[in-house]
Amino acid sequence: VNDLDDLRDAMRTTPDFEPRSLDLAVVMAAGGRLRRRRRLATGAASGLAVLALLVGGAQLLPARDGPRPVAPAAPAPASASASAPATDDASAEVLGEVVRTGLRVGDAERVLWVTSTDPGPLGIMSGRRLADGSLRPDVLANETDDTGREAGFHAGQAAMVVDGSNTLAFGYYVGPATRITARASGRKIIAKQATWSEDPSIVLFWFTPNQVKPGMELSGLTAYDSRGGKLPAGQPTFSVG
Amino acid sequence: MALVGLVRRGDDEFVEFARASSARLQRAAYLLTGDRHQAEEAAQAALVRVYASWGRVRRKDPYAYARTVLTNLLTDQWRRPIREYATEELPERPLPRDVADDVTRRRWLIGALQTLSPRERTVVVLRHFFDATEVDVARELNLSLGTVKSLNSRALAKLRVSIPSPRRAESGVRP
Repeated sequence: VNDLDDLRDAMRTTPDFEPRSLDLAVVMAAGGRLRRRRRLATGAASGLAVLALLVGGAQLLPARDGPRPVAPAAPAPASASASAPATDDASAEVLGEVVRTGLRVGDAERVLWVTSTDPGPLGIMSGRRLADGSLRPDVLANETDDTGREAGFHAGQAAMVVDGSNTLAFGYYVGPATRITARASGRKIIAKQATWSEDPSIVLFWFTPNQVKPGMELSGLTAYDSRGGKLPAGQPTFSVG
Repeated sequence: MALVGLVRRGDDEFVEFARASSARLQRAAYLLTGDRHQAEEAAQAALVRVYASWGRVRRKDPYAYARTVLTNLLTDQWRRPIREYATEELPERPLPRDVADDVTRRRWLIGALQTLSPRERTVVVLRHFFDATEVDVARELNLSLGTVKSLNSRALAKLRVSIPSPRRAESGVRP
C-alpha cells in the first residue's frame, strides 16, 4: 500500500521525465498571432461598418499594387467597460515607443506605433491615445510581398474615415530620410516624421488630416537625406482600406 | 516631436511567469499523457494561450488559468464522448512485488497512473499534483462534485494509495 505522499512525490519528481527549457520567444510569437486572430474575429463587425462607411462615401481610391493593410480597422468597443481588455491587448503589442503626433481628435491624440503582424515582419498602426492613457488602434498597414526592411518606402496608407473622423496618411521609410514629401491632388506637402526607437533606420512618417483628406490623389512620394539628395524610392505608393 | 515610452507592457511579467511555471506544466502534461513529446507540446500550447490572454489574466491567477487551459487541451478527447472510458475494473497491469525503494515506487506509480481512465487520471493530477480543491476540479472539468469524489477514490484505490483520513482529505480545500 502506498501513501498519498508517495503519490505526490512521484508526480513531482517524475523519475523518467525531466522538463526542458521551452523557447519563450516562440511561445510569445505564437501567442501574439493567436491574440490578433481573436481580435480580428471579434472586430469583424466593426471593420465591416468602417468599410461600408468608406464605400458609401465614395472615398475609396483605386487599388494599387504595393503595400496593403492587413486589417481595415481594429475593433473599437463603444462602452468604457468593454474597451478595457481590448486596449490592454493592443498596448501589449506596441513595439518600442509610441510616436505622438500632437494632433487631437476629440479628447484623444493621434499616435502611431510599430507592431508585429501576421504575416509580415512588422506593421505600422495608426491609432489614438485616449484620455485615460489607453491606446485604440484604427488602421494597420504592413508589407505583404517582401520583408519590409528593404531601403525605401513601405506600407503607405492613404487617409480614411474611422469612427467618423479622418485618419492620417502614413507609412514608413527604411533609410536615412530626413525629409519626406509628396503631392496631394497636385499640391506639394511635407510629411512629419519620427525614427523608430528600436531601429533608427526605420522612419515613420505621416501627413495630417489638413494636408491629406480621404479621396485625395497622392503621388510623388520622395525621401531626401540630410544633404538634400534623393533616396531610393522602394514602394512609394498608397493603399486604402 | 515628442516620444513617450511604452514597451510591450506585461511581456517581462509573462516571461517571469512562464519560466516559473514551465517545468510544472510540462510535468503535469507528462502525467496526463505519458508521452514526453506530447507533454512539451501541450505545455507550450498552454503557454501560448496564456500569452494570448495575458492582458486579461495577468492580474488574476495566471497559473490557475494555465492549469485549466492545459487540462482542457488534453481532455478534449474524453470530454465529448464522455461514456467512452467507463473503466470500472482494476487495471490488468500486475502490481510489482518490489516496491522497496523510493525510485522504484515512484516509477511504478507513474506507470500505474497511465493505466487509469483519462478522467480518473485528470482528477488525480488536478487534485494531488496541482493541489486543486474538489470544487475547483468539478468546475474545471464540468463534472459534479460527487463524480469528482468518486473518480478520485476509485483512482487512488487502483493506485493502491491508502485513502487519507477525512481531516487530511480536507486539507486541500481553500477557506
